[in-house]
Amino acid sequence: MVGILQDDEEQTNSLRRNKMNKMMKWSLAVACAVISTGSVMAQGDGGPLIDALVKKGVLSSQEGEEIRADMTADLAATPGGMITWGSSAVRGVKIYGDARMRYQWENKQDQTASNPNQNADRNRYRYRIRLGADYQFAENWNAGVRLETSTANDSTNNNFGGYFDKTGDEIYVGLVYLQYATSNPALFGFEFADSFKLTMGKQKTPFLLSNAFWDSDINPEGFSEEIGWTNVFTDGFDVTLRGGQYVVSEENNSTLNTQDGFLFVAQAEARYSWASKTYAKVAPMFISESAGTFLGQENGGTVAGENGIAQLGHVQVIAVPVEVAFNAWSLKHKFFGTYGINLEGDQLARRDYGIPSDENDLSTFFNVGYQMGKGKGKGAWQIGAEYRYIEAGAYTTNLSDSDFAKNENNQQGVVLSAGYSFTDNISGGVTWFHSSDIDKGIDVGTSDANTADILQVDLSWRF
Amino acid sequence: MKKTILCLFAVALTLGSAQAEKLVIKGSDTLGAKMVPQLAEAFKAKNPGTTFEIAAEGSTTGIAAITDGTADIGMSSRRARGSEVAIAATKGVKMVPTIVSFDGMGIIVNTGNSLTGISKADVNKIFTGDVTDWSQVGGKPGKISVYTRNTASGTYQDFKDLAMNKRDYAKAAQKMAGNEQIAAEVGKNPNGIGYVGMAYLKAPGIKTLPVDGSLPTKASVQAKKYPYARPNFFYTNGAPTGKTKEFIDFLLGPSGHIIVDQVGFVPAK
Repeated sequence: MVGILQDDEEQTNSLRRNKMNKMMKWSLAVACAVISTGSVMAQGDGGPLIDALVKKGVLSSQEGEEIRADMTADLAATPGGMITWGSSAVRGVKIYGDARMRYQWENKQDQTASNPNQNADRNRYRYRIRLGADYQFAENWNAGVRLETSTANDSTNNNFGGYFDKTGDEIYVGLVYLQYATSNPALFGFEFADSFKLTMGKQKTPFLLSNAFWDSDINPEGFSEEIGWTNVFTDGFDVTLRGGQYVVSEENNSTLNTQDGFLFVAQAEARYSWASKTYAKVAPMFISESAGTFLGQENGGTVAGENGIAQLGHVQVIAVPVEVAFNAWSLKHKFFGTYGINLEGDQLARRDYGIPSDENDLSTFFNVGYQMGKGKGKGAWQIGAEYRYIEAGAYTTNLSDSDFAKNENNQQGVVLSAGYSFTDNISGGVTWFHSSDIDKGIDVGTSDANTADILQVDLSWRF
Repeated sequence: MKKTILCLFAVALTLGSAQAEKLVIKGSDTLGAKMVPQLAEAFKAKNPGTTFEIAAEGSTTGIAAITDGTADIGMSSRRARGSEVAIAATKGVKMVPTIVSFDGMGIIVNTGNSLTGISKADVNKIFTGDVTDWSQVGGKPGKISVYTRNTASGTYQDFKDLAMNKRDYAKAAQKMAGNEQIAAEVGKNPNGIGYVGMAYLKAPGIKTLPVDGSLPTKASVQAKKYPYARPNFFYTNGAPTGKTKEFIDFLLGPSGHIIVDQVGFVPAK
């Protein structure tokens, strides 16, 4: 009898010990996970810590998995982690954003008849915010939305000032697009390429073209397509074809003699890579503005640009962008350049700017540049130098860089830049733009400049 | 008398529905191609009234099926992501994982490949496209052909996490629907490389490369020494009950362990 009682007591004690051990394990795991809240939030499931406890034998694999699942569920239920997707078709969402504060100094010497050689200085205190989300759906579909400051098509900056008022601080839609992207696309069972992408809406430009000739703030509206082949003819040789059909002016057709305006772009890129992060690209392209009643009428027309200057419309441009990148001496190097000509350059310059018929050679533009940098994230740096040359009728100022030469044509000059990352997400940069007239006898607008200098000092952070 | 007839009718209905009980299992190709069908056959032999519907189209589909309520068990060779758990929660679904086995993702090359081993660093470089020729990792010159699983696969994601520091796959990597297809392609291509679960390492024309000296074996996976070892899961909505629980208990029991072992997986302890 005594023996039976002793056995019962031992069994009870053993059960109690097991229960206590289990409780201790869970308490230990949860306590450790709470202490490392930062990593839990980042990982979503306290993964490394639980892995370590499982490896040490403190938790069994199944116990670790149960704790991990509970923590993931708890995190999902917190206000910060609880996100209700539109439907279960959404496979993932990436939310991103960035902000920038900028001091900008401008100096411009005008050459217009009303203000000959006027020297104008300006100090500007500016900021921008961009908030975006990329949505990944099932079956190769994705979508994106980005909100940003500024109404201008070629800028995201707002000005401080107005005694702290909020005028001009509104947020606008910078991107809204739907995209279908797939590898190995097939028609009737025949795989015709290695990749295919169709984008609809207000989107980032898919074209390889220097920022000098397609301001990085300009997001075209319409359709674009991209089709790619890898390892064509030989290993490392890729070919990509791109097309874009964009609406640039939508008019009320009930008004007599008005027409919608369109921008069409086609590009063929050949890329050869012979080592990691080493490549050469050449990407000839054609840019065509169709007829449109208000096309090229930013000044007093329907286009809201940063500088509000007279535009050149209906361009027919052939351009050849080139890029070569390689690593050497533990640094990243990139040479780039573009040469282009507007087939309608002379004619459009005379029509839109009133340039006399005895002025010729108005159609050519080009740039050459070099960038060098090191690292990624904290401590990374980059410097660059570029020369730009844009004749009076060479290009549409609706697309060119709004910072260089105050967006004007008939300008040549340099862009020098330097940047440094203070942390993984906070960086600073300095950029200086200097330009001067190519032909001093030509007037391309009411605020035509002899010279223009712009200095930008930026502090940016991503989140 | 009426009550007796009603009771008999209810009992008959219950028995009828129990006899016709079907388990719907969706998800991972790694688990669903061999292991789960064989377990289902063995379970059916002991439980004649049970039928199975098994669809192996990738772990993502298994987890989505639990969220949508279209499966009793979601097979997954990876953990459910936080976003998937959050989506499930919005529909009142609680994702509960049960580890059903362990697996090691073996690095396979063609038997004609001169390499006899590979480092973790070189695996990373090959699959991310940092190196593109075998001569860059000590092999005979030749353009490396990388074969991976497709994006619906849990193995695709797990391999990125475990072997590639979460970087993207090489642009030229070819995506295959399943382990068998990867093994078949590597078996035909002298310059091919891919990864497959332990159950597929004996396919013709391929050999498994030790990674930093370690091969995916039952011992190395159990000891958590093989770098690309991982658990495999059954996900259920809440703790498993009824026939689902019976099937999982069978899998985790002695009879199930024998089958799990026979098909090349490492049984969960």
